[in-house]
Amino acid sequence: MIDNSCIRLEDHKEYNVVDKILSDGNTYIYLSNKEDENDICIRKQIQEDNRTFLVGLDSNEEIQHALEIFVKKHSND
Amino acid sequence: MKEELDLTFLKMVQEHYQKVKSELNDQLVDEFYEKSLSSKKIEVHGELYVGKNVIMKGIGQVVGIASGILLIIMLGKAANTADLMDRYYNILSQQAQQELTQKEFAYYQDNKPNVIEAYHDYQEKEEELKQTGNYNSLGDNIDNDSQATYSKGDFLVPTNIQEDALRMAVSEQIQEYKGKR
Repeated sequence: MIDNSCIRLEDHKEYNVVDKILSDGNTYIYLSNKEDENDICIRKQIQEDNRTFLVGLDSNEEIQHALEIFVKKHSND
Repeated sequence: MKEELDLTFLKMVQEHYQKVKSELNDQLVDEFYEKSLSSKKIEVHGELYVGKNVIMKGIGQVVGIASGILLIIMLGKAANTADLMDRYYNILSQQAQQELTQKEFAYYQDNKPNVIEAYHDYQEKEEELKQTGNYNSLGDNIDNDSQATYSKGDFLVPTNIQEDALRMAVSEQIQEYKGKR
């Protein structure tokens, strides 16, 4: 059975999915290294030919936006 | 004088940015950018979800790191502006010395643009360059093979478009000084 609560990235490390947020038509996936919670990154989920992929963000502005919505969502946690 | 005060303030912003970045750990911020920007496409089979262990443990640490990086981005933008204006005045001074006559140079020394004016001129040029389609979303010249390090979260290294816009703004300013006495 596939465990999609974590994913292996191109650095061969396992990352937990800590959140998924839909914004402006994009689904942002927030990831945290299983072995080091300080090691985080954000990817975007896209659909191509009925297949699902994770890709990087396109610009610094998009990174800022993705961080803002994440921090805002969890600001009262 | 006002220009010097403006630059002093901007330099304070630069120093603050550097301090905050190093407190969060430069490497951590750089690696975050490396992994989040334009990375390899990875296929996912099925729906991604937040697992029980993450829900139970909470993500306070992750939110803290994300908040720190966001703060750095905001400070970084201000620091980037400070650095750009620093570069503007340095390039302006160099070109003034190289291209202006003695009288024109004297006029330049008494009529330097203040930081607001200089930044406005720079922004106009940056916008013109964006319209050319010669730069990607990270500010790299698409004909240039070397990637700007700005994309890795270092706001104090100008992108290709920023550097080119600065030089255009300075050249235009130098032309205004020519013929002036």
